[in-house]
Amino acid sequence: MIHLIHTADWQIGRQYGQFDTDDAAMLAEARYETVARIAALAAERRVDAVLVAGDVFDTQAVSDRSIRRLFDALAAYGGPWVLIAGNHDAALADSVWSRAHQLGCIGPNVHVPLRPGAIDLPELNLAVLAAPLTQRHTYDDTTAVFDALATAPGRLRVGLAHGSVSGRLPDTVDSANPIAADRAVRAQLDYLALGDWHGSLRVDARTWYAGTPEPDRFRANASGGVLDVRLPGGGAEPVVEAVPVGRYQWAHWTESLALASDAEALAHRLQGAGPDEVLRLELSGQLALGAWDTLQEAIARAAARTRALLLDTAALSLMPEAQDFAALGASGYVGEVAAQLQALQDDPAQAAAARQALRLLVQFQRERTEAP
Amino acid sequence: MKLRRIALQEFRKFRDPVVLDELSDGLNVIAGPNEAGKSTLAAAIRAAFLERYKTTKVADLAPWGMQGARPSVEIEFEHAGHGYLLRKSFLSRARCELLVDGGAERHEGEAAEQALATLLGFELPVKGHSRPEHGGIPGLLWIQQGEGQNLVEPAGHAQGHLREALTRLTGELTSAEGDYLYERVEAERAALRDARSGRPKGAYKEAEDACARAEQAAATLAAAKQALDADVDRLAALRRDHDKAQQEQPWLDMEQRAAQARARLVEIGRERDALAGLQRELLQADDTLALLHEQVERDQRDAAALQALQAQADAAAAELAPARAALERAQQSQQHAAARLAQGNAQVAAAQQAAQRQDCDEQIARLDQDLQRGQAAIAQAGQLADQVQALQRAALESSIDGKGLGALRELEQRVTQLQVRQRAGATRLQHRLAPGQGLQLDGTELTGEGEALVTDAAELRIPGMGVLRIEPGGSDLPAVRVALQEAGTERAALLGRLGVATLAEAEARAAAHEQARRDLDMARQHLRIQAPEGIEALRAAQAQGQARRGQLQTLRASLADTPAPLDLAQAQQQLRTTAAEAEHAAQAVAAARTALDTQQARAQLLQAQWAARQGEFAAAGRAEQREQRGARLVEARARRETLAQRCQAAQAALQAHQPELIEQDAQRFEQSARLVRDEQQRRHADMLQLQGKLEQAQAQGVGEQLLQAQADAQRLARRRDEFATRAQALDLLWQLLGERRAAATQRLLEPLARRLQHYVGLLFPGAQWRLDDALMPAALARGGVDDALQALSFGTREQLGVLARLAYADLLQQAGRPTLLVLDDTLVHADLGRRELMKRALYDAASRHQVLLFTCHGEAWQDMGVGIRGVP
Repeated sequence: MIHLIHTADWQIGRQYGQFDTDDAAMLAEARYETVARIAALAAERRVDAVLVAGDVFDTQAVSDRSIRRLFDALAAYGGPWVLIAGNHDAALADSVWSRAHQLGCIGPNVHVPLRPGAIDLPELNLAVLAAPLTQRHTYDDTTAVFDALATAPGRLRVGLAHGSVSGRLPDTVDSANPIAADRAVRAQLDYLALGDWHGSLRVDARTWYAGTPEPDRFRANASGGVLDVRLPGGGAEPVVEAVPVGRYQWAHWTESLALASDAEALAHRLQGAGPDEVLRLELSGQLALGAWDTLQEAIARAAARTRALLLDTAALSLMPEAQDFAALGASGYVGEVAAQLQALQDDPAQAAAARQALRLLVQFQRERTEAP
Repeated sequence: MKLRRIALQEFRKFRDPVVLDELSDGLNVIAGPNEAGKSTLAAAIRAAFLERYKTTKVADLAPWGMQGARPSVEIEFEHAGHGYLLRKSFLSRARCELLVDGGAERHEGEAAEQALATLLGFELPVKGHSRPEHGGIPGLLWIQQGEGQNLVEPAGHAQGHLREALTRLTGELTSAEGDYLYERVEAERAALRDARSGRPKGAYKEAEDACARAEQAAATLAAAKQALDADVDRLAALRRDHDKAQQEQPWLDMEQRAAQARARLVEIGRERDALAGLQRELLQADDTLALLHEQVERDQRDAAALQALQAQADAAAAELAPARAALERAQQSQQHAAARLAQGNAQVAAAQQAAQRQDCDEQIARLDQDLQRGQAAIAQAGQLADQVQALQRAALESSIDGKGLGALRELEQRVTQLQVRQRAGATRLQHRLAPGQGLQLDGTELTGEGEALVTDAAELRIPGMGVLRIEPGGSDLPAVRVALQEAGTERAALLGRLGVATLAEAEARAAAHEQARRDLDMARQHLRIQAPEGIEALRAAQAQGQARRGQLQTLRASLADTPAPLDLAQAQQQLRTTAAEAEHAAQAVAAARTALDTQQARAQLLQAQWAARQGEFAAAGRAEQREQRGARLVEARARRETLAQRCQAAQAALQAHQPELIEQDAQRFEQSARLVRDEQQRRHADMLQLQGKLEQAQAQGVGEQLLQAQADAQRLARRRDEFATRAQALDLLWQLLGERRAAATQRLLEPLARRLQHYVGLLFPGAQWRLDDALMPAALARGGVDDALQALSFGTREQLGVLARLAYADLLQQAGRPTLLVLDDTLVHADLGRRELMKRALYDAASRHQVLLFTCHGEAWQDMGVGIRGVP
């Protein structure tokens, strides 16, 4: 019986340009922390090995410090780690891996195969058939070698590969790094640990994607965890448990507002947003001024509470009413201009400018009336 | 607003109270001459309303020189159905009182003033004088003297009231609101966009620049990463190739083939050596053959030579006889030539002698001549010498001391003088005696006729009578006599010294001496000519000549008198020719002799040679040798042929191997092997280098940097886009606000524009006012040309100023404000035509407003339909 942790797509070094510097820094930092958490989890659960199915680093030519940090983060778990190269960090003639070797930060329990082959772990009676990517762009199935790869008799065969299973992923179009959907059967693998798809996904009983342990995009695809895999051996199916380890939860809310109640409901929901949430709020529709004010306040409070909040109101039109104008003191031609802008919000060519202009008008008028 | 009564006291020139009442609703013309007080009245109205009663700055309102004056004004007026009475006193005991509706309301002091300010639409100064900016509506409508053309300033100070009136009339947005927003938007826009070019500025520009920089940085890093990737790929390729080469070792095959070729070449080399050997043998055979050939030939040549030699010897011998004959002939001719030469010589000698003789004769003749001449010369010279001597003697003889002569002359003169004196002083005694009678004067017998001078006391004896003593009376006669005596003695002495008897003699001697001397000089000169070096020299020359002559004579004598047929030149010429001939002949002889000798020698030699050769040739054993040699030659030839054949065969065989090609192959393979090995080496070196480079690059973390740079670029692009959106929104807002605002202003200005048009049309039909944003008239448009206000003439400006005020007054009245127009001597610069037009305007305006027109030209305003009042 083998007890493994299967994880992948750590994407160390990824930068988040869509967030402010501070938030981005925290999100980038979280990736290292998650690795440490995985190591802690592995130690806590006393697993036999941790398999990392590629894309450990987000790019080649990562700084030495980042390399060291990553390998240091593995420290909590002293058992065998097997890390393979993905497409972002392929094992080229010169790569992060060769650099890591040069830096001497790869511990003795950390296996980093640079060629497809089997890693024999006799003490565990486990053979890990690893298919690291060795080219920048791979167009053929790297796991094909598994079929012919012999291992010591009696060993459990666990495949470790990085690529897209042909025809099984939600939106794959002529993807690079193809992997045959029936590789596990063809290569007589007890389990095939895959990486590249960032969500935790079951391809079949023996073939799983672990997904990225720390979410890194707004797609809702069950990321943020690792897989706890028990292989009973003897041809039995693996028992797979998804274990959340990620720090932050990323969510994308698309809201279309028409009535004041819609805004209220949204504001209410926003109240529930917590400090570990990374939220993208996309608003469209139209709002009266008062509702807009209330919503803005709710959003501001949520932005303060959450890790990061990206707000997109480009498609949201303001609809001030007569009393709003009166309140603003926008009489005479100012009122006319406001009405004009309100109408322009529906013109797709000028909508963006008109919305912004209307908001500015409201803001300026408010400042005027508030000022002594 | 209508003024009814104005009362002044102690106001400037009005020390006593003065009242102007019964003012009518419309136009009031108050005329008066200069200094009548028109402006004082106007000033009083101004002061009453605009100046604070408490102010001390109005001392000029007090009458001149009056102490403790209390300028007071009282004005009764109506407005909006209320009657007002204003009393104000300045300076001492200043007071202010305003009664409304006959006392229903009463205001005092500042409250009164404030009420007035609010009613009429002006401000009270905080302290001091009322200044133009406080004027408000009255400041605009009450035109002071000479201020009519100033429109912009007073209108500006009344702007608030004007705007308010317009707003009230049009009901437009209190532009304060719209203006605020417009200005705010403009300011916000200006912060983002450059006013002229519309390009981003300030924070927007910074955002753009920062974004551009970040993108640039990202691009640079991307390029670096790309380069790095390319290097990694290159390393991979190198490694692949290196490993492949290491495995396949393509150079081995190459080297093997090269070795094979080399081996083959060695074989061929051996064959070649063999061929070389054969060729050498062949060469040797050739040499031997050639040698033998040569020897046989030489034998043949020897035989031929021998024969030739014989022939030569015979020929040479044959030559001898003619040579001898030639020699004899030459010798003969030489003898002839010699004989002729001797002859010639003799002739020449004879000619020479003849010439010599002739020469001698000539010389002798010449010499004779010379001798003769010489002799003559000598004789003459002798003569001359004698002459000279004689002359010398004569000169000597006749020499006379010049000085003495001079002294003598003097003396003579003195004597003469003295004598004259004596005679002058002397007594003259003339006597005529009878014959036979005689006298004795100092012993001197005087007879006959005569004269005698008595210079001294003298006795005259008259025989038979006695003696007479005569004593001349001259005073100094004695002195003279003494002197004369002295002189006489001196003279005698001198004469004696000089050796002459008299002066005349002396003179004669002197002259003779002189002459003699001159003659002597001349003679000497002649002598010198004759004999430059002296007679002796001449004599010597003569002697020489003589001697010479003697020599020549002897010489001549020795010369024989043989005749000479030819003269010297001819003889010499002939001699030369004969000499040449003789020479020639001699040479010919010599040549002939030499020829003969050589011929002889040659013949002998040849003979000897032939003899020797013959001997040798015929010697025993030689013939045998010759035979042998001939046989050997044949043998050698045959051998050589066989060798040549063998050689050719071997060469052909060698050719067939194509050794050059094999040589090329060997080279080719060796070179290729070398190249491949080098390539491998190079690859290895490149790999090491590249690895080093990549290590360095990896250490820099380009990939990570790139991701960061891209994230930064993304952020900055977002920021820039935010600015862009904001700028666009501001543009839109500004544009819309601007449009609306312009339209609103247009609507606002409409009433004002209409009124102004109404009035300006009276003066300039068809012209149009242009108003600026501040509702102020800015320009006049006539006939398509805009003239700015300042560009118009003074008079026109003044007229327009009045018209504008009329328009403002209409407007203000419509809005319910009090409008009183005061024109203090305005329109003085209007020409007749314009004034008439202005009158129309005023008349029209007076139908709506009360107008107080102060003028000094009352007569000019008589056609206004109102009476002309005088200043009280």
